[in-house]
Amino acid sequence: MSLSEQIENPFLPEPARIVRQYDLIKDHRFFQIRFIDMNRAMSFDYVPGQFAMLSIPGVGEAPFSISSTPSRPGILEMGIRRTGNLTRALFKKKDNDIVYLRGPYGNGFKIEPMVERDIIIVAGGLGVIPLRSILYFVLDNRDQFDELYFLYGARNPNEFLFKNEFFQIKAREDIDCLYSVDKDTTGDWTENTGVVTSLFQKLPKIDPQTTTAVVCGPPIMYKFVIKELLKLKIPKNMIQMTLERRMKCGVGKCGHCALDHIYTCIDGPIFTYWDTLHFRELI
Amino acid sequence: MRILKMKPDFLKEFLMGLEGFGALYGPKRQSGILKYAPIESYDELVLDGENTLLPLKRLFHPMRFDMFRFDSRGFEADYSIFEKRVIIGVHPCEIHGILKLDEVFLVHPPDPYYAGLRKNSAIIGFSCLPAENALCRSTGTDIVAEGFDLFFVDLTDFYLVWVGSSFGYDMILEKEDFFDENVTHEDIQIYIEWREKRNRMFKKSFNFRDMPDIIELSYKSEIWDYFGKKCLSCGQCTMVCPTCNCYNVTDVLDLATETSGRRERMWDSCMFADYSLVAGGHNFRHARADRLKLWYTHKLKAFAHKYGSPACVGCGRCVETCPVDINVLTVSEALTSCEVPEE
Amino acid sequence: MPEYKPRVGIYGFTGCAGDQLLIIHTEDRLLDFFNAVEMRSFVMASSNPLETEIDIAFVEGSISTEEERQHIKEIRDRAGVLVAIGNCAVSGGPQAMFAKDGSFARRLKQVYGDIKFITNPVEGAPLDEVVSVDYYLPGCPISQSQAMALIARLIHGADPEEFPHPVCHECKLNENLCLLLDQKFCLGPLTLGGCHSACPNNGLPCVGCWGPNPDGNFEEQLGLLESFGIPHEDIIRRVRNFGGYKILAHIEKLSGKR
Repeated sequence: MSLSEQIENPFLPEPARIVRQYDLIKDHRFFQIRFIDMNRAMSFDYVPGQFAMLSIPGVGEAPFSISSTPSRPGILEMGIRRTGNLTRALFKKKDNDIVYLRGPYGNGFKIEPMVERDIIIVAGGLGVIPLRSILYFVLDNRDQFDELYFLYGARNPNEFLFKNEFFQIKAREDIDCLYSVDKDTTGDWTENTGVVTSLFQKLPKIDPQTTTAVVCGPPIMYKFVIKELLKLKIPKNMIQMTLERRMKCGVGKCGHCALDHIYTCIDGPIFTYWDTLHFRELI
Repeated sequence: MRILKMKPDFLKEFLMGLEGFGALYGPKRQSGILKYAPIESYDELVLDGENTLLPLKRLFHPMRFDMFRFDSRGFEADYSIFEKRVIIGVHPCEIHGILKLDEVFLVHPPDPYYAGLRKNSAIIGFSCLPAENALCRSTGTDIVAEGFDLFFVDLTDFYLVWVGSSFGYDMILEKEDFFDENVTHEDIQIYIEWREKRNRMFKKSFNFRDMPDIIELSYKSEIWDYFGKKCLSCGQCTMVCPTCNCYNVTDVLDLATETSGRRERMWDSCMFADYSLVAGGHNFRHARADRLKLWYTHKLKAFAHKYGSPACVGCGRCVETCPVDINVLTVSEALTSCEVPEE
Repeated sequence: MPEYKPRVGIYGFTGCAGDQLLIIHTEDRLLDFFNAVEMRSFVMASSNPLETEIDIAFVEGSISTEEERQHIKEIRDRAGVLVAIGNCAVSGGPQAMFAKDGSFARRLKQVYGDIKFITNPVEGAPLDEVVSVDYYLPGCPISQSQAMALIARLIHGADPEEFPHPVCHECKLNENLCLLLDQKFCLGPLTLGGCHSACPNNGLPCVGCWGPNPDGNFEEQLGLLESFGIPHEDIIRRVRNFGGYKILAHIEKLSGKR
């Protein structure tokens, strides 16, 4: 059709294969997905903290944060909770089934303020899914960064995501991993018990002038974690956090994630603590 | 800019002769309602100052259309909405509305549907005299300097015709002898008088310049709760607003096969309860007052912050449409005076 | 491997059967529907129903007799998914306009006197008063496009999408002038959309046949309609006309005199 020749369509989802999937915990599944087009699979470049729009034709499309690191290209990883129409359909998919992706979208974590500095990663519950990306990015480029602290709290041992991976990392000497559960329901939990903020007491002395913090967790957690980070005197614009909003396009057109004069999908989902004070509706 | 004169006698022949440039569209009355619709005869065109029920955006950001068809081979874009069009009788506020939508839809990456409709449409603007609720002088959108191919100013004895694009000039060349290049001092005088007369005709005005600060300061004002209690959440204000662009996307499966269907896009509204609802059930704006605050913050503060002028083009449609009198004027007045309207 | 086709049954209880008729009237799409499923029971379209286990039951009508109560329970037991179709099945229909006001016995006697019933009448109720309902297709009658979109998703294993917006949404897209602006009665803002604003498109007020919009601002709209000079009792009567059991959750907001 002559009126529509050679149009770039940013909404066009591209086919991708579920190469592997397994349950993390109940109703939470890990997906490894690869674009069918091999060039696309290798050229899909992103920044930790970005997200992609995932489609199942006939069911719909929704944003999901990318849990893998761009330092390991070729396969995208996502940790997904079964909670709506789309995820219910996604959980019925099997290995080798096709889904559709477009992206990456959003601003991603600012890496520059982390280079040659100390990093504290604080994750609560599901918040660990997007933070896994920055965690592995830092580990894969370990010489670029100074001290690395990884604080992760889950409700109980059965809800602790990526248990094997994270306990394996814990053995490394170049990262300080602090894990906790609110309540040990199994009786065989070997790490800390208590809310994630209790882990701050276990941190060695932090130099706030050389430290960047990265936070993700349920809305209620932010308040308490930020309080701890401010106690450490980490500057407000050196606390990065990732937020959630309803999105239908990912590219600043559909309006759903608008807030003041920003769109969460292009100006976020990563904001600094200062941004959240400035844009009062953010959290 | 090139400005020409044309005698009113030529208008009908000139406009109907534009068919060669695309299908003619314009304000047309259907079952008593003024709508932008295909024009078959000159008599259907309504070229006075009356607002159409829905603004011009409906021709560029269609209310409901298919973005894609999909089947087992994947998604294929559906551009069947594209059509060469000449849209006649567009008022200055409408043109400003489209220029503001351009800021959203044409910035990288451009929305291909909006961009395609925009690229294939010519806009023939027409001057108007202020309607009862016109606020365009207050919003600085009563005069237009860009965003049209041709713009006709009706000075009764003749039209002044602004040529806004090369495409517009091609249209002039089709009927060159209808137009007179010789604009005299007397003509300029007539035009100035018309402007002054028009300026005096506005019945409503408001100083929107201070609204960004006032809205920021009123973030916790109980004025929002007053309007929140009143709002019917019908969403009409957002549908009739020339600069509201929100939409939702839904997949519709075919009955016959498991894998084929279409991905549909439809206007949405921030006044609806599910607008900010995310999977899992958390709603970022459950309260009606919060939904209203988002809309007015976006229109009068945020858009101005980002693009230099508010998103309101002063068409007055929200004033005419809201069944419970929540509109850009009543809200701005209440926030400015810190007093709710009298019942 | 032959393609698995979901087994479907379409049933009617107390009502006008208009929703089943509407499914039959989808013409070309009816063939697609019949080809995509294994139709076990649809008495309106074909005799010789097979009353076996089914994947999806579409059920029209309200439950108005003891026999119907037993029958719907029996259908529920053998249906994977149960969809209530039409206002009667969803809200109880006009026969439930006096729902739960305690006047049923008196009204029954007034109309039927002392006759002996073949099966005991009960106060007309929506399906979900008796069994659990998975999905709802409201309307009087249901909308063809909404019905086909839901059916297509269900038979192809996807969850249906809700349309939680007022009638006003589609009404404005259809470029109608708001009846409330002319101080006319209309229940648009209080009513769930999906009907393509069928009544306002013809200059008629919305009567609420899709059932209440949970986000409706009932108090404010009541005040608005009263300010038009419409008596309070009149408004309540008209809201209850199609509101049945589903309006009961909101009626308190409506009954408080301003």
